[in-house]
Amino acid sequence: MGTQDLTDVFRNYENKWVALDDNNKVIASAASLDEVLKLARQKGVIDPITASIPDYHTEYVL
Amino acid sequence: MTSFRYPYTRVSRPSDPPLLQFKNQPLLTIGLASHSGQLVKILSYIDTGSQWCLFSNQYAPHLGIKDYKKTNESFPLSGIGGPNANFAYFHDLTLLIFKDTKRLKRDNAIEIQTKIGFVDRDFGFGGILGVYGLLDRFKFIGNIPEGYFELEKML
Repeated sequence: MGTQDLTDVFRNYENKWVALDDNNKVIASAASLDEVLKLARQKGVIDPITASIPDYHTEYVL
Repeated sequence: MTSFRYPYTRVSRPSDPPLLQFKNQPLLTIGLASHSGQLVKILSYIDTGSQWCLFSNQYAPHLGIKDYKKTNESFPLSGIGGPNANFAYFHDLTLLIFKDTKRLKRDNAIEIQTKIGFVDRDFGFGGILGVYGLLDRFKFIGNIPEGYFELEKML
């Protein structure tokens, strides 16, 4: 098993909330979780994967 | 012991300085479920240094929690942001660890009844997966050169 590449999601939706399908394809994006869930459900996806995409240059030293 | 394998998430920016060109992140899609059956799926960051599983408070109303601050269990958080940089409010919920990334359904998940913290200040990712509830039950084994990590069920 190799890595999964989410470069496009992290590059195009920085500092936004996104809804993804099970293949990590973006269904909707918005400024808040409420809004992104509403948009996804309007497109017929009831329980998408949700994610907050951080600023790329913020590093997590965990 | 049963173990489950997941891919590291790679993000790249070739135009950045060398130290920032590539990141390998231990991201895992988990589920949070309420006792009444509400479910949200969250792309979360596994943080072996965090004592708790912590999430944006924006998730609380989607799990039937009207006021995330209304609980008897709340603690200040310290970390990179300094002492008391944030505050977490804990609620009893079900954490779902999906056995693979192909079928993110409840009947393909291990369910853990645990305490989940909602934080005042968002921290970039929607959720952080820490010790209590997850890493005290699963051994985390990272294999970045080969691009995956494993969670091995211990309890």
